Amino acid sequence: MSSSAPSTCAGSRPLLAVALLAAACTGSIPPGLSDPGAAGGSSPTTPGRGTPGVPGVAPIPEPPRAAGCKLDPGPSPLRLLTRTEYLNTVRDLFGGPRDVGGDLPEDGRPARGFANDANARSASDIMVAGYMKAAEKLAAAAVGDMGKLLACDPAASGGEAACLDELFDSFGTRAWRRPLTAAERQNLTRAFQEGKTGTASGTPSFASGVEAVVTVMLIAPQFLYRTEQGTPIAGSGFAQLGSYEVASRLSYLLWGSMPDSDLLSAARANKLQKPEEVLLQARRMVDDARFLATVTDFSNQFLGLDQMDTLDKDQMTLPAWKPELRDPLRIEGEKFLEYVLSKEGGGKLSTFLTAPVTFVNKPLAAYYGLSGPGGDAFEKVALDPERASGALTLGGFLAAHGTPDDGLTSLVFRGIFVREGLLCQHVPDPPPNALDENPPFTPETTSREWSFARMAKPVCGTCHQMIDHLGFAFESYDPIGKWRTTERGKPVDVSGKIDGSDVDGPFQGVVELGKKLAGSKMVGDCVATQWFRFAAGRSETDRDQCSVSTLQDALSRSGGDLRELFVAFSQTDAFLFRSQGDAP
Amino acid sequence: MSAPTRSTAAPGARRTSPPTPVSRRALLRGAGGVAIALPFLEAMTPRRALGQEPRTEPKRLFTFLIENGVVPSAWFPTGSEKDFKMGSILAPMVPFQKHMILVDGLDNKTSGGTCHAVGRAGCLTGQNNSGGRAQGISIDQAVANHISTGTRLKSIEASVFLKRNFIYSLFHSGPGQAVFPEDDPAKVFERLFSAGVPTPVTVGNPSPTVNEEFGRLRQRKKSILDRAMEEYTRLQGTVGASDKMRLDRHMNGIREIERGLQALGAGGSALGASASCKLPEAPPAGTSDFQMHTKLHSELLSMALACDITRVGSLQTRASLTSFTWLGVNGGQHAISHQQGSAGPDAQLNKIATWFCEQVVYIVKLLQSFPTGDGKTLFDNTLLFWANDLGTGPHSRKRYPFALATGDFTLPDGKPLQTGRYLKYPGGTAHNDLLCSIGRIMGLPLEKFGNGQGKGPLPGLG
Repeated sequence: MSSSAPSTCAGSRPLLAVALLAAACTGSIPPGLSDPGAAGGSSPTTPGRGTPGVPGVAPIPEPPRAAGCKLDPGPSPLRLLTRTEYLNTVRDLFGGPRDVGGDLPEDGRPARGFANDANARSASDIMVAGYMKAAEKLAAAAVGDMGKLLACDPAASGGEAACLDELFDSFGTRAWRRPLTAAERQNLTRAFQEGKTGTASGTPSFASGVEAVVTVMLIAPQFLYRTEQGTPIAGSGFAQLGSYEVASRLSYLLWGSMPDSDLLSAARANKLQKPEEVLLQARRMVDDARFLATVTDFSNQFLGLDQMDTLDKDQMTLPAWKPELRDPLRIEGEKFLEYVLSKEGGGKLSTFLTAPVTFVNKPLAAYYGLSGPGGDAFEKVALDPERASGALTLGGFLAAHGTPDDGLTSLVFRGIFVREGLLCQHVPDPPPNALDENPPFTPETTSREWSFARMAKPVCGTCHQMIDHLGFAFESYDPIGKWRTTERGKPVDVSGKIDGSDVDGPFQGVVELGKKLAGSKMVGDCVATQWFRFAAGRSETDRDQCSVSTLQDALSRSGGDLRELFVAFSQTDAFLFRSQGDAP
Repeated sequence: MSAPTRSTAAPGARRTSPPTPVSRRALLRGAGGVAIALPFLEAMTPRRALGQEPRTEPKRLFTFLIENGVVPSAWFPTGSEKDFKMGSILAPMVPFQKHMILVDGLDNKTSGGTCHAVGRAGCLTGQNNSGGRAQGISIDQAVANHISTGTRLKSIEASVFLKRNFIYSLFHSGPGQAVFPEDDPAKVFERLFSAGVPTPVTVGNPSPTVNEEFGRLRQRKKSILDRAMEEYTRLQGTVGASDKMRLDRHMNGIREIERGLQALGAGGSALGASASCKLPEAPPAGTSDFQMHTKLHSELLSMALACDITRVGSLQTRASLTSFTWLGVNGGQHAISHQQGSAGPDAQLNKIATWFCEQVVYIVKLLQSFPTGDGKTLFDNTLLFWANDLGTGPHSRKRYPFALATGDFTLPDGKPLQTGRYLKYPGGTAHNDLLCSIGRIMGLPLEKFGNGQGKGPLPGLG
């Protein structure tokens, strides 16, 4: 999961001097910007943004920053919509789900990081072909219901030109998430003319022209990518985002989809420039079901539950595994997250890491050996507090971090998750000759015995000391997340130790480890960093320290409330500004 | 080997009855009851003449991948370069020994992760791994860029039971640019054959009405792509270097669609089509049987090469979690492969590897069944590359079991590629050099390939 240096997660920076949520606005809307312009206010007629302290020029609205922090949004790579974002956007653009998922390949999750990592993604030929196919279908369906798409009559006065203007202004603004520029209108008008005459029979057709325009819009970068310009801040290499761009960022951050009419109205009125205006919108948005879907996406990827639908286990050595359990195991994790974020769960990270409750239906209850629901519906069940520790003992998480067969290294996967996923400490890749050093094992060798033999070898031990002692906590759970008291005929031993943290010391099993992690400031800071990676669609860099601090502070000040963390990204430099080009 | 029961190619038979263009309705019906929504244009491909005159036959590359290494004693031959006895795994290949080149002594010297990550990322690229992605292009894609000119698709990548396990990628179109294979035979079929296949024409020309309509719709699609391209070009002028690279890949994708349209209309893709090219039966939806899955992909990819829809096909098999129960092997191949070196597991691994050898033999026979315009067969114009993501020994990246197979293959310099050889190179030779040789055999003027570990093409090969 993590890939950055431990130093970014060390939690040693001073706390923010100002309260995050009492956003002190130091700026105002510059004069003459009631219309922010098409591309975020970057058109030549738009007055430039001022620099603080320069007389006569309005200062830039600044989010609250920690002492010593200067404006720096970090790198701003161009972000391609994920498959989920694409399908959500299409749903919201056309007013209902559209069945084009089959045309789009799955996002390939890289070995490290989230599936939306801009630096690990680019459009393959198959993806581009899929976008075209989907666009053709969507456009055909859209003109099939022309009344819904366009209220105008091409035969009336003003005719086609007026209709095109309406198409660009209404549908176009929504599809491209901002008003269209003159050059874009010109290009799309040409698409209309060529599409109008380009029918199979050769007979011109208005609908055919509109269909061509919609198709172009749906395969253009303005739709598929989150394109931004912003208004340059003189001499900085940075730009402040226009209100439409902020609206788009907000909606993809919290909803994984395009802006709704409220956001677009706010953008039109240029009311998304001050951090507190942005925060107000963010608070409105978290009450929407789309927010839960987005943080579920984050949580699923964080825990590996996104891999459940293709997770394979060897049924010969793990006979309890059934492919039919994939969905229930994922849903269990999703229900658990929903519970954590609910009033009852209080949104607390500590609940996420330790709560001895879960949600099961009949097949899953049977799998775990729980007495519980008798049907397909998921019900909340209390678990043995001596055994269960929130997300850390979810069957799906344990299976995703378990060997594919009845192997000896589940504890390694789980230890790495704690080290990298929860402590944000980088575990180096094994050296090239690592496998030659693997100690021998027999069918009677336990995971723990093999681990100690491995840690005793210099080549292996350096890293496995970091990993395996944490992994021992999970040895009560087999590679598919089922409770066990013995392994290969020997009693399991779950004693381990944690080091390199602010909660160092020995523990017995996952419940004790979970309690330690829940009380760790480092873990809170790391979870905030993970949210940064998902929210920014990239790994943090040294330049992002202040933005990451803002998140870490939001989490710690709220007593570990994840909901405050999720919203706080909207108040960071990384969110409100962008770096221009590759500079600086 | 398991007898191929699904009929695909009718070996050598040139069609004599007047063929009909593929109808949209027929395709829709063909997909095992699952409707394939075909873009209208692609269902209207006009017929065109093909295979009229002797010609320079295009070259093809078919890559077949297995995983987790093999037991060395059962793979590597004994004997000399020209006079050798193959290992027991290769027994099904004995009748084709004169067509084979077995390469020994190669290590995967790429780095940057665990054995599986490096094994996968480095296998076809010779490049280091970063986060499950190789830091450079894979040989299949490099060759495709070079030889798949005028075909509808640049390449096709299919997989068996990989599902969407894309954590570690094999195929790459550039640094960090993974190309994910398609697991579902129905989708591979759709990708390859949704536009039908070039049909040998013996009477008359395609109906002028169909051609006019086709021309108009193609023009329409081209206009849409051009208008979109204008937006990409405009955007590209405003972004930094790394975003430019991202947009470049996207624009290449748009050009790929345009090139496919071009090939569809111009008849260009038909030039290399075998007279035995024909639309294969649509695979049933939801194939869940490993054997059938492998067979279907082998047939679809072979037919794609025969019809000159593309010239580069790759098939990645994932045996790791499959119990080869039909061979009496219980438990996934991955777990067993960790125990390589013990007699019991070795015997099981060899059974599995031998089964894969039978599948390679099946592909060879399929390729041999397609006559080509130069009077030979598709096999004579195809280089079959059988690769493995790991080497020999448990999860080792040493002494990889690589094999090549082809018929009467002419090298770019006009000389025949010498086959029936067992080539032993000094231990520790970087496998980059084999990839480099393959590129050169396929006409790509490579000096070196991959991460700099290699020295250049293997002596005596390419």
